[in-house]
Amino acid sequence: MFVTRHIPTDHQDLIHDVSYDFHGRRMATCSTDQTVQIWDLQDNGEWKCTASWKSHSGSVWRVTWAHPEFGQVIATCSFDRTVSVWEECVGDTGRDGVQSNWIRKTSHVDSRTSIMDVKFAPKHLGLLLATCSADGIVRIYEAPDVMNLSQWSLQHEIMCKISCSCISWNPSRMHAPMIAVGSDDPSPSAGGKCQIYEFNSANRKWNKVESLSVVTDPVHDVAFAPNLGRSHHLLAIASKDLKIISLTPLGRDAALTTQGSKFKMQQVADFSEHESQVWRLSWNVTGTILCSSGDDGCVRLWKANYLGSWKCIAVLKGDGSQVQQMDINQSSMSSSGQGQSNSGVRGPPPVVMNMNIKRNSGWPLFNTQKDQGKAYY
Amino acid sequence: MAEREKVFCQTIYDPACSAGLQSTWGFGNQLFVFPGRKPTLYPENQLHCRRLQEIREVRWDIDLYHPVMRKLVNESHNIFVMLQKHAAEKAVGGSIHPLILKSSRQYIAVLIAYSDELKKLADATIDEDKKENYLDLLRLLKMSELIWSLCEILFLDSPAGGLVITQLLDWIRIHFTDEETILQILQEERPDCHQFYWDTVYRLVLQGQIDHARRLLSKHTAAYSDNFQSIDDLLKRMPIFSQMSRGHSVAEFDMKWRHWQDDAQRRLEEQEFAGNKQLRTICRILAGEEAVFTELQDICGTWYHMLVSKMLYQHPTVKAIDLQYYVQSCLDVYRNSQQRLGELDNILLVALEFDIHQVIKESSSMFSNWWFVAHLTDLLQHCGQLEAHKLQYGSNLREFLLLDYASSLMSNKSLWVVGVSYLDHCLEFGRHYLENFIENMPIETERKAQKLLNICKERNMTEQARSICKVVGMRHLNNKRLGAALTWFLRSKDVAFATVIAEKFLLEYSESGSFTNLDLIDNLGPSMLLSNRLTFLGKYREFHKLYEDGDFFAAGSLLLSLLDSRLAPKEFWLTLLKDAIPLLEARELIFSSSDTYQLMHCLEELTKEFDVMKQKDGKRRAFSEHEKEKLGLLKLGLTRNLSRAIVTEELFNVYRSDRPPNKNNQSHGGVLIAINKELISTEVSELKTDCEIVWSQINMTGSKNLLIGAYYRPSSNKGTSLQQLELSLSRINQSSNTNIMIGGDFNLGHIDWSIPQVIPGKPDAEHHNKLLELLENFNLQQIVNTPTRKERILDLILVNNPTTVNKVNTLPPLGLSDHDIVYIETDTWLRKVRQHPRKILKYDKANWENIEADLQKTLEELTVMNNNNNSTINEITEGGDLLSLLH
Repeated sequence: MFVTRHIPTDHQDLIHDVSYDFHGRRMATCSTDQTVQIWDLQDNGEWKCTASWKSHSGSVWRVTWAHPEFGQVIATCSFDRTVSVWEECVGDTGRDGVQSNWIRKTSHVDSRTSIMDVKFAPKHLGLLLATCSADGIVRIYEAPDVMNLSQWSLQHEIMCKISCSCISWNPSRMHAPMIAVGSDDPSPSAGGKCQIYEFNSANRKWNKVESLSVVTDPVHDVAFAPNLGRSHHLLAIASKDLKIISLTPLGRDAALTTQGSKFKMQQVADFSEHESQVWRLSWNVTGTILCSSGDDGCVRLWKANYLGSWKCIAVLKGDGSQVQQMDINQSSMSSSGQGQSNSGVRGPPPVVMNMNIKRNSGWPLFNTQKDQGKAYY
Repeated sequence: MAEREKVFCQTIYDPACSAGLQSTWGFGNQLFVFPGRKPTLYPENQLHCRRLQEIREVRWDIDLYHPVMRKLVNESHNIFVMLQKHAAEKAVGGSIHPLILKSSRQYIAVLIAYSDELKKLADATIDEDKKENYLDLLRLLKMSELIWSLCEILFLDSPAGGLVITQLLDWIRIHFTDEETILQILQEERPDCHQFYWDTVYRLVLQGQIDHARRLLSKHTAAYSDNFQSIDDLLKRMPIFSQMSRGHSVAEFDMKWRHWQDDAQRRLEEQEFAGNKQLRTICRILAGEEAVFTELQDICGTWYHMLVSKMLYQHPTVKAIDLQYYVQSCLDVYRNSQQRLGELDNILLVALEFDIHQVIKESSSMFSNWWFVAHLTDLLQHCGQLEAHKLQYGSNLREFLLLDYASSLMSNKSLWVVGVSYLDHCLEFGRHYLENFIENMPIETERKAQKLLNICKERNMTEQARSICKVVGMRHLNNKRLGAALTWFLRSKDVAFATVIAEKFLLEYSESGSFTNLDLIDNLGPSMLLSNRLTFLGKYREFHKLYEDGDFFAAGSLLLSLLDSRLAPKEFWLTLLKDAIPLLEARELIFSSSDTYQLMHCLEELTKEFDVMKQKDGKRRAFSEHEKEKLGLLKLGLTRNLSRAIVTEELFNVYRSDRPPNKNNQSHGGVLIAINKELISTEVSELKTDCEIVWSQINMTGSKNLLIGAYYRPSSNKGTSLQQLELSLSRINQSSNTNIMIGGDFNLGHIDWSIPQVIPGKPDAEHHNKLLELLENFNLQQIVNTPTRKERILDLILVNNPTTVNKVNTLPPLGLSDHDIVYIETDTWLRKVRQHPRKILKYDKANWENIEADLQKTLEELTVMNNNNNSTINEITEGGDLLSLLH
């Protein structure tokens, strides 16, 4: 059963990122119109915009939340080459009714090119922020004092030597800090477009541990799955197609024998269903379902069955051409023998629609009445 | 069976989507979909679209969030937990089969109960949409129940190779019930004229409900005709195999059955029912004729009904495992109709084929929630029907499905607690899932936080508990609710934040002079030890309480310990010292001399630090006027207290030269040197001359001895006093290696000590010159250069070795005096007194008379000393670096 609901935003232009806080009660959006908006889930289940402000002097590419342990903090990155950290300051009247204030705590302008992605580290590493820019440098900032968010120090600069487009932290608590960096360099000769860096606590440096040679096409998004006690890490890569790679850390002995490679890498899935570029990935909380967005205008959900083989379980398709033909109040529930049903929804007004997806509509009513008894087989 | 890919597809119609679609996950089954694409993939000119943007929130699999379904979830959860508990107990020994069967029946009972409720609700609602919704759910439950019952018969209930026909009949009866129709027909005046009379009779016969069928037949108007009687006779004699009748073996029953059916066939062949088509049909059914079932396909309605009916009359002793061989013929009957097999049929088919895995797979793709498969799989696992299928990542099918089910519960705001319990029963990954969910669980209220904390506590998840406390604390902090925030930070044992909040409390106090959240601070208990600042806060509050209660001694010592242990932050010292003022002024002596010194030290340290800071950056922190005034008061209080302490404590050797009593025989002044008893000092009486002077000597090893003198020159004196001083000084053996230090009120204020020369034009120049001469002769130097009384320097200190003097200061006057205190510090290494061997007195042999006399004498002396309050005191502290002189 799918239910969709509209949230009309005030963004005057394309939305580039929608990001959820850890608890799923707040949402931040950013757009080409240089603004960031914060949405709060009301008790009645409605989303309400509680703050909206112009944050940069260029398109805001990404917005991301810090763990609520550090307070209500977001980071944004923009075409204007800056990364900003914002903190919410609540007035005396409290959050209800009053628009909350978001104050720019710091702004990093170390990059000379547009900053493509920004991500907070998993919370057990402290308040760390990783950014990557088109000039191929990954920068890691740290706020040593979590009470003072205006002081950040540039901890590391990793030269990737290749234009970076996306970055992802490995959320695993058991493993050394690890990030995956994707590159959208179009030349196929530039080598692996997805690199993995690991922090070496002995010499306090980030070292490149892997460069995935299987990925030679430009990478648009990378995402580590939340690790739920698995012995391997799952990394999803959005490129010309969608790949899911499992990285199994090798023990010390094994690492010696395999000539420096620290991981056993295995491609567990490779899907070209989008038939074009895949540009955005997102894992669910437990890391069991992956959602990918691609150039074909579809959002697809992928899930592994209990044998570990990944399959597409649902597709959401955006269709801009058929608007006029659809009747708002009619939720078409056409069912075929395959149990597929296509339903259309469009707005406004925001209509909640229930869609019966898997159930066969021809369910017998178990009555002696002939016509009803016949309705099903 | 060929694997069929089922991909659910949905289209969102929005012109903006033509550019593309992006999405982000929410919590649970929640996606946010918004139009757009990766910015770098846009051609330059397309990067802007001037239109309001919309986001779509997409949710799915939310059947279970319906109120009725929520009840179902809760109830089935109880059954589930009970089964797990018993299974764990029984695992040691004994069969759990009956238990599983019982649980299975309970699940079915729950399904039925809520189907009924939904039906009632659906009937009661007028709203079309809601009704549709109810009916949707109702269908879902009915379907679940149908499949479940069949699975129970096939997988759980049947003894291997046992007969299943009885159970199958029950199954069909429950799901194809037509009690209502029967009742309706029975109520008719002429039942046989009812539209569905014969259909119902056929159906009852097909379902093996012989009694009902006979009852209906007997209502027929022609019930007493021969052919009706014959059919009734046949039906009555139909052998029923029941497992209850233990007496009969299967073979016996089979024989009886054949005998009976032969009879039915015979009657059919004899054309007994030629006149009545309907009765003939019934008899054909009884005889198990193949064709009649095809004719009655509409009455059976479904292939599985037909299968059971056929089995009843053709192979009543069929075994569960053999059922699949008869399926095809039934399917063929329905084959010619337009529709293909539905999903439900497939599930039932694979169930009959005993392909359990396929059943689970098909069901999980058919049902939009995991309730059915998760519970069924759990049961099957328990009764050992599922081989322990070890998966790639170390969990089994049961756990996989339970995890999915639990995950779908976790994202609901009221069902998550149930989800937690299910996760508990997933041995392999349950805990990891739970940890992850707990961290992401929205914490709307304190109660929810409490609940989550309990869950963490029960499962020993300290990391998550800490995180929750921190998050809640942080929220309170942001909303400026310091007390609540502190409570939560204490629970998370977060040092940094507890310190921050304690500091905020202190700041609040120093600004407003009172504490908020007194309850909390008063009841900190041992948790205050978390951070130094917090400990200080707690202790400081304790000080206030003690003070309010009038326990000044305890308050004083607490205050001192706070300063002494450096627990108090520097910026708070001033406040603490200010708090000491009333204690210093109290009627009783609260601070001993050593306490007072400590306070003085603190004050000095603080002033010094302020000076340093002032130099560093001019105006950052300087004492305000008010503070300066307070500090003045404090200094006064300290010195007063010190003198009181010294007198009461007898920590000093006192050397004095009292004036002769005046004419009223009252002692009224003199000079006095007080030297800490820790220093070895003796009076030097040979230096005493006929003026007000007293000398003492401190012996020092490895250094020069220190000769200290106290002198007073009455202002009216005509020179004899200075002569006597000269005499006294001349007696000092100049060659002896001593440091000389003599202080006192010389009453000679007209000397410019910076030159040093007598200021011309002032009276009494003779004596001033005499003093300067004296200084020169004895190689002494005067070191006081600040006025000690009004603008004159009357109280002088003469030393022969001024380099040893570090500091000369004046302190505000003590008591009623109009002279400032002169305070000097010198660097002199002193020998400490060794602990003397202890003498143990034998009191039984003591001369008590003498002791008494002695004590009396001491007492008298003491009284004299206390009366002598107009005296000059010279004293040296135990550190040897403090010499204070006061008048």
